[in-house]
Amino acid sequence: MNKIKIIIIPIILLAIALVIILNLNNDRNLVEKSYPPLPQIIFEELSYFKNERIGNNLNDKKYMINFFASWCAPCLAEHPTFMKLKQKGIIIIGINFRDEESNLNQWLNEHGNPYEYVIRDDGDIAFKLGLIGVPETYFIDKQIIYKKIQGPLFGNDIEEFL
Amino acid sequence: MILKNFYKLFLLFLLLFPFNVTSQEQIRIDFYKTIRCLVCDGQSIYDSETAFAQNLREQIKLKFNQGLTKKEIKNELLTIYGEDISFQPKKNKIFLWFSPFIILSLIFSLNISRYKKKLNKK
Repeated sequence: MNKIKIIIIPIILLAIALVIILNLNNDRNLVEKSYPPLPQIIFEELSYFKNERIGNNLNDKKYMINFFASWCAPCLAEHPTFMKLKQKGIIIIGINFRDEESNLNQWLNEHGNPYEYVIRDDGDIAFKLGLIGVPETYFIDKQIIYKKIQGPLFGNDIEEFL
Repeated sequence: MILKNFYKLFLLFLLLFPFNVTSQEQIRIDFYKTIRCLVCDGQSIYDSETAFAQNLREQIKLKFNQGLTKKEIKNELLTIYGEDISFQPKKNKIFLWFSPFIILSLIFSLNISRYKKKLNKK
C-alpha cells in the first residue's frame, strides 16, 4: 500500500502543477500582446477638420492613435498630456468614438485640439481594433501597433514611447 | 351579421399578431447572450448598457444583416478580443474544470481498497 502511495502522490502533484502551468499561459496580458492589424478605414476616411485623407503620410513614422469622446470624463483627464505632446511635435490621430458632432466641436474648442487628424467613428474602427472603452491609446511604429494602453495616459507610458 | 364581423376581426387579429417574433430578432438576442461584456465581466452584451456593449450589438447586427453566420461572427470576435469574449470556455479548459473530481475519485478509490484490506486482516 505504501509503495502505491509513494508512486501516486507525486503523480497527482505533478498533474496539478502541469495544469496550473499550462493555464498560466492563457493569461489575459499574454493574449493582448498580439494586436490586430490597423484597419485601412483610418487612412481612407476623410479627416474631420482638415477634410483630407491620411493615406500614406504616416507610413514610416511613429505616432499615436487615441480614442476619445466628449462624454468621457477620463478623456478630459488625459487631455492636458496630449496638449503637451503636441507641443513636442508628436503626431496624434484622434478617433472620436460614438459622439455628436456639435459636442465634439464644443469639446475641442473648449479644451484645445491636440490631434493632427480627427476621424469620426460610429463604432466600426473601434470594433476592428478591439476597443474595450474610451480612452484607449495605441502606440504605432511603421504601421504596426506595439503597445496599447487602456484608460488615461500617464507620464511613464509616454517616456517609453519617446 | 355581428358574428360575421367578429369572424373578420378574429382573422385580422391572427394576421397581425406577431407569431414569428422568434425569427432574426430572437436569434440575435440569443447570440448576444453568449458574448461577454469585457467592461463588466459578469454580464453579457445583451444585459450591459456600456458603450462597448452597445457598439458590439450594433456591429453584430450589421454582420447578421450582411449575411454572416453565427459561427463566422463568433470566430471574428474571438480573433479580435480573445477567448474572454465568449461565455463558453475552450475545450482545453475542460480538463482544468474536471481535475478536482478526478483527483478526488482517485483518492477515494485508494482509500476504499485500503479499507477493504484492513477488513480482510481483521
